[in-house]
Amino acid sequence: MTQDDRIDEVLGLVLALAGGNLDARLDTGTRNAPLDGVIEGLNMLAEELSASTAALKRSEESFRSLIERSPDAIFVHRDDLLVYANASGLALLGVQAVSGLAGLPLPALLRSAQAEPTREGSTKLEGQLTRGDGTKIEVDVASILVDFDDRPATLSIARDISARKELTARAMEMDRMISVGTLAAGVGHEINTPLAYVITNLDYALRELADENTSPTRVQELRKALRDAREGAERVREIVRDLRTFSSTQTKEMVRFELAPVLVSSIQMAFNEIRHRARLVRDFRSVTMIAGSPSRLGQVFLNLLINAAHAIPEGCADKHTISVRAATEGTEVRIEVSDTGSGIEPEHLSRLFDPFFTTKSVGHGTGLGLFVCQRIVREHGGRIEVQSTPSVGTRFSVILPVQADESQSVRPAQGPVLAVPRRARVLVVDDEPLMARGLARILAREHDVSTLTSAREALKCLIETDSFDAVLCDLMMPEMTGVDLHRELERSKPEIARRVLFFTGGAFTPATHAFVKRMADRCLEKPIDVTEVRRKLAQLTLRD
Amino acid sequence: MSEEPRVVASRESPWFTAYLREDGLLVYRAVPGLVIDHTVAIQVLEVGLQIVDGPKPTMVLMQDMARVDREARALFASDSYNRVCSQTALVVGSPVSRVIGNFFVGLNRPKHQFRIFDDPALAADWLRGFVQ
Repeated sequence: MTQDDRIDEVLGLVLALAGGNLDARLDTGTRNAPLDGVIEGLNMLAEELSASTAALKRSEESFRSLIERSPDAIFVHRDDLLVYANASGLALLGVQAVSGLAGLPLPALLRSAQAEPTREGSTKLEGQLTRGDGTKIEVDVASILVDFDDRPATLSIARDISARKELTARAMEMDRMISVGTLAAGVGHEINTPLAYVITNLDYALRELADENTSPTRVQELRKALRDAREGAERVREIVRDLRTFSSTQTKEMVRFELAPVLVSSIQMAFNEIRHRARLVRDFRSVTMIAGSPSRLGQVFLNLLINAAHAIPEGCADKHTISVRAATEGTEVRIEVSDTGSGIEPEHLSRLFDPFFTTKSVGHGTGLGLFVCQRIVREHGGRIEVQSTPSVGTRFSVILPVQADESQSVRPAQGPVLAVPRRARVLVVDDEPLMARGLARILAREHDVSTLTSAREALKCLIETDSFDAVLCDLMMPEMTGVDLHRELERSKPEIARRVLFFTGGAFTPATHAFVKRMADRCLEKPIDVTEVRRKLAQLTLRD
Repeated sequence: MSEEPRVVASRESPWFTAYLREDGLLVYRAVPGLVIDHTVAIQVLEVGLQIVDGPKPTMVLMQDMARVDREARALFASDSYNRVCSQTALVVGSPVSRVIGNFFVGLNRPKHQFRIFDDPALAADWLRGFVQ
């Protein structure tokens, strides 16, 4: 073999290696010593290259397997187009294979992610991803810039958080129920006390009235007993009203409202927890209107008040203070709940608003209270600040924006009707005969009152006769509700439909809630305030 | 990217296409996986002679070429090649084509100017400097 032949063999080897055949080798011998050295070197290089390539292939397969089998959806996208998705990503989008990505519009959430990431660190977004079948799924997405196929692209890792969100929502609801549950005993006590003197006084009145020879002095005593019973019932009504503030199901509804009554309700709800531990100081006379959900903000204040109470041991009420202060500062309202309790350790302060963080013992708190508070306050465009010194006390400040927009309708203050109403013919419709009878009795002095216990009967009577100037109707009744009756009247007797007042013990269905909202100026809450009934009846009959 | 100048003459064979551009460059484009043995090398010269009336600056697009045999390399390094090509730009792409080009230039030491390029545009720029 000539040297040229040998050179050709070397060239062939190099070409084979360069062409990707890493198994190519040449025998070394003594035929051409200088070239044999080169061949030996090439063989060694080929050996190493072969081993490295195999290792690289294994590593690449491992990583590919990791990516492919990742339970998180992994996407690579650039220029508003998806260029790769792993199996979870394909499943998330409802696509069978990577080839199905071609022509698929880039989901809006990934487009947003594409606009933001850097190479230095990933950015995180949370939102909804639309699947191939149009359904939406809650995900969080972490994105970073990478090179893919030698071009810059965005790598996004999306995780389905629907279950987590649902769990958090349930836990938050549970936390609210625990707060309410904590207060149930206190509220029970609050109701039982006035109820006790309602019953005692009514028993006394009934016994006295049974005696036909009741003297004028005793009649005076009877009046006093009935007034006391009335006051007790009024107190029960207030407690139920406070409870309603916290049990509203329309939690996301934003309205313009006065802050002070919500603070009062929160204090009254928490008072049983407070009174054995501290004196309560209140100063919130000069606060303004704010916009938001009264029930959700009430939940925040209630939570802060209970936390304040629980920071103080029972039995030293004269040595401790819980203060609730609120004041308007420019465009903000600052509500402070402070206590002279145990305070918070500095190392706990930064974690105070983390979900499930609690310093209370097991069974005494879910650790979601402050997390929920912060979330609610943020949803209202506000923030929560906290200052605390161990063994001295803690102050939580809720800062909310003042509602400057006067355009949102606020129910005008309801003053007395000055004009003297005429005697009207009133029909009371309530499936509870005692309620109907009570109302008839109270209104009998000013009006001619009839009662019916069925909306269907009432409808028949109102359609067939023109005997009534106004109708007082319960909203929730079996068979036919007050809403149904009103709808039928609007169709057949619109002039009567305009003169119906409704009373309700609570709107329990969305339809009824919507109705109450629409007819707010004609709805009365049970237990009924008789003065309010008289005023509204007068308004209705004066309109004629 | 600028457009390639108009082609004024061209010939095709099963293994390559040869054409003369308006800017005076002769171009050979090899089919992918081409193995140039002595027979193909002779055809390269014959086809070239049909197009040009004297040696031209030549660009060989050999990005996907598989091999050039020793006899073929010897022919391209000889005076015969000078009848067709004055200077040659070898445009390589794959590692294989790069090895072929470097082996040829390094081992066969051709008598006229050969240079290796990655970019056809740069190759054309270099060649245009020799157009008369």
